[in-house]
Amino acid sequence: MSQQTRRRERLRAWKIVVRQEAEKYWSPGQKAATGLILLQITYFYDSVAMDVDNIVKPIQDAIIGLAYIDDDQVTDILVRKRNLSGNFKVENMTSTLAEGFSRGNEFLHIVVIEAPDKEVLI
Amino acid sequence: MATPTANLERERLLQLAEEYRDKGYEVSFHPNPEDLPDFLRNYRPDMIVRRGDEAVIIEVKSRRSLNSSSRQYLQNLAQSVEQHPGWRFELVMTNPEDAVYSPKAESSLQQPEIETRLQVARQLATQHPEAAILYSWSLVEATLRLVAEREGMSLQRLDSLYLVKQLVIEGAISRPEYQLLMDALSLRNAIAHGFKATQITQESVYQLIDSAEHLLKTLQVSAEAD
Repeated sequence: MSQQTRRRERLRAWKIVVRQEAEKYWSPGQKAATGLILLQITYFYDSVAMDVDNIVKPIQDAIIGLAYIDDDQVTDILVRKRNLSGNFKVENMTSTLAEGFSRGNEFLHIVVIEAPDKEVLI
Repeated sequence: MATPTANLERERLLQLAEEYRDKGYEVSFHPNPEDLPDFLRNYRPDMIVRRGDEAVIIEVKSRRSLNSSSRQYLQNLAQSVEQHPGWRFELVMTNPEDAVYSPKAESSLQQPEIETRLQVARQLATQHPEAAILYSWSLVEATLRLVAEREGMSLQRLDSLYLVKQLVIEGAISRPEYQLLMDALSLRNAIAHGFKATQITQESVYQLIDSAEHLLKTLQVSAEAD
């Protein structure tokens, strides 16, 4: 098996993990969004972070059919990383976010929300 | 003595209180259970700030204080707050600069634990001086923190270089001790990061262990003198 094939397989396995985790938090009655959306990903890392641009695409692909129908609905992406050993403030702690902190390790927090006004850029 | 992390959290809390007061909020530190609404009776928030209909529960944590019990506390608190409109929960993370804490770390080794482990390091030195210096250094660091605590020093950081320098500057360790520790630190760093350390001998490990034992003895003497 080539190294490239191995990498593809590992990436596929990672997408499955993301999908399974997302399904746990997606309430059963909630339908996939049909409009344009903003994907917000926060990577709370432990001391050493990977580049944030590398984490977006697999996550975006993994939740197709769950959070939205197709990834062309994603018009805006906000990707951030914060060091758990750094200084920052979470102004609105939700229980989902608290569960992330409760794991004691680095974690990803993914939020799918309606896209902002497309006619005004700030 | 409060730990450096606890001091840092307290300083951050005071700073936040100031910021909220400036914005016109009424600030209440560690409110008593009787001053809390029913849904918060089982909690002991660091601070609550209020302005008009808005109420904010503020918890200040660091990587180190985010242990398993506090993590469960945060999760329960977040769930309780979510059910109460007008309330929000703010988590403020604050950490010493350059300090990297493992979530698995609990607390620093204490004197009897260090003494026992130094004997293990001494045995290890006869066969494996490289492994022994890594182990001995970890015991030295724990010892230096005890010395700093004993001297009532307020440490802003916990990394080893800062620790050694701060102790010599404040006169808690002697210049020859400082020199020995710096030499050992450079050896320790080389080994820890996979470089060949040809200078290492059984004797250099023993010197480091002797130094740690000497510092522990002075701790003992000063404790008895109190």
